[in-house]
Amino acid sequence: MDAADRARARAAESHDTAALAGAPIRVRDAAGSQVAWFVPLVAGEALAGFVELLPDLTHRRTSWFGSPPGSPHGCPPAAWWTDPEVVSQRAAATLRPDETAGTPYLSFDTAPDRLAWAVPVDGPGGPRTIFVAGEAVWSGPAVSGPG
Amino acid sequence: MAPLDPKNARRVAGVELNALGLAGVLPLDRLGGAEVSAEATPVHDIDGEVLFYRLPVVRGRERLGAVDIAVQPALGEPLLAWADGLAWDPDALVGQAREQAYRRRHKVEQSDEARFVAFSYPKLAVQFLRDGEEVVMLELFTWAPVPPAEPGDRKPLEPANFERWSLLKELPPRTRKARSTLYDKRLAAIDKLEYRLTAHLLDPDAWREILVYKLVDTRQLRYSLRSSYHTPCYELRGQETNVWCVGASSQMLLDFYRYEYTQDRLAQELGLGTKANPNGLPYSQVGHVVTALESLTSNGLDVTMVTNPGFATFRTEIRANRPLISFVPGHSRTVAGYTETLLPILASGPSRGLLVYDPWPPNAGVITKWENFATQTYQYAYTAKVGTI
Repeated sequence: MDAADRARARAAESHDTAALAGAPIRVRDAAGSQVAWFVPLVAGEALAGFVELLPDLTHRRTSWFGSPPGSPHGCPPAAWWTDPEVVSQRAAATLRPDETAGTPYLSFDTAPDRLAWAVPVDGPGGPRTIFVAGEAVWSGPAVSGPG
Repeated sequence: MAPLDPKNARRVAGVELNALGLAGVLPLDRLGGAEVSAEATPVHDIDGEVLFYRLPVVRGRERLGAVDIAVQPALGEPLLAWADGLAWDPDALVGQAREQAYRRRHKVEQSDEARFVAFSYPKLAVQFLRDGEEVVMLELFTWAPVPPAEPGDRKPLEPANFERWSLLKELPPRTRKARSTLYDKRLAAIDKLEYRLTAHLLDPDAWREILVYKLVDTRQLRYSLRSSYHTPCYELRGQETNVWCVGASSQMLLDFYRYEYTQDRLAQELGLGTKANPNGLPYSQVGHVVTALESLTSNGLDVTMVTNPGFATFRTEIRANRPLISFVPGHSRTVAGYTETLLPILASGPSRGLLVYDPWPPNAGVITKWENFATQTYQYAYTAKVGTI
């Protein structure tokens, strides 16, 4: 059983719904170090929620989209949070002229609680990072306080 | 904590066995209708201290097994063992030991006391004493005399095959301390349970409410404190920009008290810019949340900022049916419930958790049920209380 399988098995212990634990994704900081596992909880095409585990598989949180939690109402499509291709397409829409986007990786903006996909970008204005969290796309200076 | 006496050992045994029955570790049909007998047999350490009590579990005249309940905290857990099918009859065993001793010409007729001793824990023996001095000690069932202690330089907890030694003496101090802490915690948690006088009766179903609900102390916000007929009452708001977590958190808290504000309006009050040009709340302005919320409610809410809040802060507020804003490094959310496992035997998952209404990700938010309290850094909490009208 490899690390991702263990993370998936551990995540399955952290919820008792019909949602299925999908393939775990490593959450990395800007330097590439793993800070967590993101285990999607998938209900059909929707992302019902996710389990976040520390690298040693300690449970950090189990979070739910939708209202009430676990219902399909208000849940984003799972691909928004699990498919790098979808993330790349969203980021591409905000690229400036002559900028090129690198490979997206699941990360966070400033603080681990602000989970987002990071898309490294290079261009005439220098390197920057575009963040994508569901439908939200942004780029800018790091937040200095709670945000 | 005072050492367990036989009466309390019987009570603890009842709780532990009922819990094992509820957890499915012991079959309900095996235990149902049985009871822990009041005949607690003390089992001593070599040095004379009572290590544990062994109590038979009976149904009518049928002996179903025996349960060992620790008296010494250094043993780590109150429940040491359940011996299924063991017909524990101490008087008969002492009788057998006495007979074997006669045969071997030990002068047990001169003894004035016979007791059970864990001579090499968990191996047991019957020890005959006269004026406090040992006449002979025979291993249970083999009836072989246990040899006297030999001075030696062996390592602690590595006894020879048939040797008397003291568990209490040989446990390393650190292990002893750690185990004692666990034992005391568990006993304290058991003491917190609402007992019936009949705790020794084994009827796991009757204990479902006490053990399942009391082992997990959990609560979330409701319309009022009359939780029996009010459903959970709290709503999630996603932050409308990538830096308006404080605005969204304030909105959730104010919504609970029926103050309706848009995030644009809250951003104006909190100094978070505009939707077109938003900014986060600088750390130098964290105190401003208090004045903004009080101002927006015309002081209808009395808001307090708590630095480095502990679990008790969250628990106290939720028990009073009040949500909190919680700042963690770089982010703000609200807390609308908690869960706390009082005894680990029936529970899985985090032992302390918070129900977090998190405005992240933007325009969506998530409800986190539960956040492991041990893995998060809680910088500030904002409590809000309705002022006297």
